[in-house]
Amino acid sequence: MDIVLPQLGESITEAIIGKWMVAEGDDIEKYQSLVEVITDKVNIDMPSPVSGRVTKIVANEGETVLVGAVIVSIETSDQLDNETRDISEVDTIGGFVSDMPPVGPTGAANVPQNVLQENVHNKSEPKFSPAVKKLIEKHNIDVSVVEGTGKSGRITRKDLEAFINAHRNISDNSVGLGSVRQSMSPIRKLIANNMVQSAKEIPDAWLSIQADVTNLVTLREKKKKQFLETNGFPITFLAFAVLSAAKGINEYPIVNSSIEKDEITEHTELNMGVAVASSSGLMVPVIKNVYGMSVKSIAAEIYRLVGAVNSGDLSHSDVISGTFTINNTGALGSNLSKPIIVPGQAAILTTEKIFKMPMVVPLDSSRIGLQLSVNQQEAIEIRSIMNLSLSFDHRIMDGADASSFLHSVKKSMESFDEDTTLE
Amino acid sequence: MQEINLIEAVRQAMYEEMDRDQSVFILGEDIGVRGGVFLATDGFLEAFGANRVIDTPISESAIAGVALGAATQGMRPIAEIEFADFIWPVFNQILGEAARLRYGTEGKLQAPLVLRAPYGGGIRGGLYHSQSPEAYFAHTPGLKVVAPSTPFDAKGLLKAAIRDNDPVIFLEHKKTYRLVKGNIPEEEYTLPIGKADVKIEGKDISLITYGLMLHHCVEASRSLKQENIEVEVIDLRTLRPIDQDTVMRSVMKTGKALIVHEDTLALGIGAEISAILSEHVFDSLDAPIKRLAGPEVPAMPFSPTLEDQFMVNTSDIVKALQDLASY
Repeated sequence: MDIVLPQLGESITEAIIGKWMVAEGDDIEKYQSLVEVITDKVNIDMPSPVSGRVTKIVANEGETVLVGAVIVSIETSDQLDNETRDISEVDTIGGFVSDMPPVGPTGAANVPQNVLQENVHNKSEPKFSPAVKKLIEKHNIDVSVVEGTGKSGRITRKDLEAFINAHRNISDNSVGLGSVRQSMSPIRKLIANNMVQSAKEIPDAWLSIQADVTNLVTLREKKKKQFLETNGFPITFLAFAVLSAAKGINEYPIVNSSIEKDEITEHTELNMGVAVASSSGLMVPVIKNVYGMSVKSIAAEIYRLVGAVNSGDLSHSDVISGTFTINNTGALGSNLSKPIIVPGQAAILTTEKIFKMPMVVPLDSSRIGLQLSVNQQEAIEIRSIMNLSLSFDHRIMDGADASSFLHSVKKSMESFDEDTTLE
Repeated sequence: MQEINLIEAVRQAMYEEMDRDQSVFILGEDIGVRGGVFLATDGFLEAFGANRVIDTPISESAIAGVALGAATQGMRPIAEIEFADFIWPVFNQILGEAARLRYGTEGKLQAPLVLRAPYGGGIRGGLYHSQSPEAYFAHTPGLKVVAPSTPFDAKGLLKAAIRDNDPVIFLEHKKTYRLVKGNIPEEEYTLPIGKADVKIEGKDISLITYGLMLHHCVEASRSLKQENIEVEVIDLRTLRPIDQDTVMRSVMKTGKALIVHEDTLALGIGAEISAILSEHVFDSLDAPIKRLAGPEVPAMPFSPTLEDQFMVNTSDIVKALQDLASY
């Protein structure tokens, strides 16, 4: 029977075939690992739905396959029985063959010349010798651009060697030290495809705003040590940002929506993806049902997810169903960035690096010494500033909604102070 | 250095080995008083005496049998079959007994004998003086089969064959006897059995051959050099065991192989080489492996016109190489 790529989660329409755990001819038990399937930035071991013998692997490693497409054929014992029955039911009377070429009076090989030629010409796919095949695979060459000098335009080993040398020389000249070409890892490919899809489909707009997080910095400085000792995980700025974004979305739910053709769906649930850099590429684990979570519970979930990314234990459910994404680009040292919206979502928020700046603030007589007054109403004070940036899908919302949302996030970030409870 | 022909190389090898080792003796038809039909043993009777230079009756089975018996008792006989065309009666002695002797006696006995036989056509010899029997012997484990093509190789390999503890079938192409001349060193030397020789290096096509055909292949290779096709010419020299390593290395380099032999095509040495290549260096092949060999007829025709058709020649090889180069 033909085994298809199953539905692996909502919004997943295709997956990349990773490593096959079985080879053609192998016997396999039901539920035994069949193949590694890579979807939406996570790997799944797909179990065999049946027992039997693997007759044909249809989808090759590295191939992108649509949900529902056949990836492997497995001959089950039931099937074997069926086939035996089929043979016994074969018609033994026979009949005229309709496409028989004419034969001469002796019935010997008197086949008209044009029939033979036609058959030869039908085989239009290019012929590659073993040596040529090996070179094509090894160097990942697009043979359509190689000119064949062999018989009937056949591409010879020498043609390929010359082609490889020519290209090596070009890159040697251009970069001086030579360059290394390699095919993308499945995850890199997936990221690339998502980015292209986003860039192609989403008319994005971008805005940025400054939040004064001086009081939040004071709060965190004061509580972080004890928090870590008590809970076993750190309290991060990101946790406050997730909470603030949730508040903003609660106020402006259009930010938590998706678009399909002429319809915009506002999601009632808020599942916030958190971008995490890992050795194999960008991972976006999702914090589910953020509404109602405390800073502490958000921090706990972030800690768990980042740990799972680093250990490679991220499960499929950890990466699906995101409705909004937040990216702490500040952790990478950025103070302003323009993120790309995850396809299927309406916006993405970045929290940037906190830096100290002289700011004009209202004169506060209780803060003498911290403030430098230039007149009787205003003063200059050193404040901790964080930029918040937002890319949004302009089909779904306009700048007014987006900036209202961003202001709401800013207000929330500025509202945290020493009296804020973390529970 | 001295320039000698191939028959002289054979003569020197036997003479030196008989001189060096008292257990070496020769036997065969007309080898004593007559000095051999090709004069390979001219003067041996006078030099070594009738005990070590034995003229035999016309019975190849007896020649091989006597050689085998003597070999089991510590002697190192060199038996000559006057023409390889008469070699068939030795099958039982050589294939049935000598080849299996050490194996069958769990190493208690061995058969260090050499069976020399002039073979091959192109000399207007007709059905009974032209045959190439190498494939029959090369098929049999327990034997070694040597077929040199130059005086240098013939001398070094024959001396090695005489010293070898296995039965060695030593095939000398009779047309090369006086046709082929080459230099050999003054000092004594032997050459390893089982080692092919790259006679001409090249990067485009591997041309694998042995015997008389080597010289046609060398000519063809030189001719194609002018067309900028570099043909690597490999002289197998030993047909059992075949030097797989040299052959495979060459084809890994060139990606194309032409195998040439005078013997008929089917199930011949070329078939074995072809199988070795497709089994072991398949990924290097850039063209089908080609063979050029004698036609599928039962024997060498007597008519000169037909004999010329039978024998592979330089222009046949050039054409096959050109086809392969353009593939």
